[in-house]
Amino acid sequence: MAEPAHDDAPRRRLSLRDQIDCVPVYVVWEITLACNLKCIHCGSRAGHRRARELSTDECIDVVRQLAELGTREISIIGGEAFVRKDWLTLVRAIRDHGMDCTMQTGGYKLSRDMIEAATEAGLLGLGVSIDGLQPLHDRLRGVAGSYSEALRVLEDCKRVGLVASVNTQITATVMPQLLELMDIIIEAGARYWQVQLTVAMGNAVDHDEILLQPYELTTLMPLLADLHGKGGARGLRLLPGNNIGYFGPYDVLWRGPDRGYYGGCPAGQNAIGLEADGTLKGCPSLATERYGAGDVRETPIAELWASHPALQFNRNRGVEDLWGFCRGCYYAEVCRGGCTWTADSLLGRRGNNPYCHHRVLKLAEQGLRERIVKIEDAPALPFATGRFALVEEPIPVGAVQA
Amino acid sequence: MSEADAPPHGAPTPVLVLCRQCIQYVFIGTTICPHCGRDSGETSARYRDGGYLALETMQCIDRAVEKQRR
Repeated sequence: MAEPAHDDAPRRRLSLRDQIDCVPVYVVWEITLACNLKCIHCGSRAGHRRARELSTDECIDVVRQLAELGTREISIIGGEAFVRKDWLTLVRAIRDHGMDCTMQTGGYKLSRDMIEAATEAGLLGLGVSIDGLQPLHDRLRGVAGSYSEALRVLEDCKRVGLVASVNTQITATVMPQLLELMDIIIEAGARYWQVQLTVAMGNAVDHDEILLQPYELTTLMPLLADLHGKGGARGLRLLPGNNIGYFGPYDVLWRGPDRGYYGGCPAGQNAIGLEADGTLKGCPSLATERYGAGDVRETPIAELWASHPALQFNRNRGVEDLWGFCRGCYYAEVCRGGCTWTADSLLGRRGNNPYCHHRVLKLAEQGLRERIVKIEDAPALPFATGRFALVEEPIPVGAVQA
Repeated sequence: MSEADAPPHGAPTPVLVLCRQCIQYVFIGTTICPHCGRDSGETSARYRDGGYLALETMQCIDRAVEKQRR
């Protein structure tokens, strides 16, 4: 499960009309749950294909319906998207319907011939997941050699002329490696670098030691700001994932002012997630149990989009469902608790997100910090959540505060 | 038209602008910045030299064009 590439693509930028008319501008589509990696942070617990994945004809009908709804970009993901035999047919269908098509991949066993064929079919960008230097990446991805394969894919994209980006999961141990990793991916030809915090979902709940603690944002954010500047000078644009935020002193570097500011979670208002078996959600990463909005085989997407309650929660949303620190925050009306996926997966309820730089700094002014503690495991299901407690405590004497 | 048949409708994001002193986001129309306590409309050297005035102008144009389209 990964976030999409080159987030600053103009077609994905939301207009006022997009927001008011709830145009599903951007769709992330898990076309199969089958995967050739065994990532220990995988929220969807990918590996085997789902029992009833959509057929090729059903997929092409989905493409048609999304085009009619005004979708401008579809990012195909997995599992591992290219494991599905008809993936190039789907890429071509998306382009034939006038939409942009990008793909997220672990890159393992994605050959140069396949990249060339995808480019020919109309793929506009490839996001490759790289989560650290070789030992860390291979450990997180669960397959020896997956790091070198990912770098090889970047090199192949450069040769083929396909725009390549890198997605990096921010885990507890990756921070000291980010500068060196940036040098490596620039050298390999990456043009965009999207970073996002690993979220407490699925396999990541089983391995909760890899999760960043909220107070560690005081170290991460200045580091990202430094990387943003250094990377930018060398042609690499660092992009924040939806859970990198919010409104801290560095947000203006990567979100604005020319690109706008964080305007709240777009799930169900301008974004759609689709699972390989046809389950529609407002965002691909949200817990299926709480956010699944029905099966596209049984109900037209337009009908689900217009009326299903599981897709409505962000539309006309105020601050009523915010709680904890977020409820009283200066930015509450705009931010609305940040990334729904992050908060909901962690605490079992959206609207209170401890992974917020503004919040961390405000708490630090009072000598406080927050950390998470697992209190309940996640079931062995895709997109399953556990439960974490949020502990507020005095900042220990001697703790580094950037 | 029943409620179920009505087209989906969402609220737009509230408008924020940068405080011209500390370059943090504030709600449009704010005079005293809640972050730095200074006059958020008074242009600081940091704001001017950082090219933020030009970007602010472009944002104003974007908003006006959007409003016109509606």
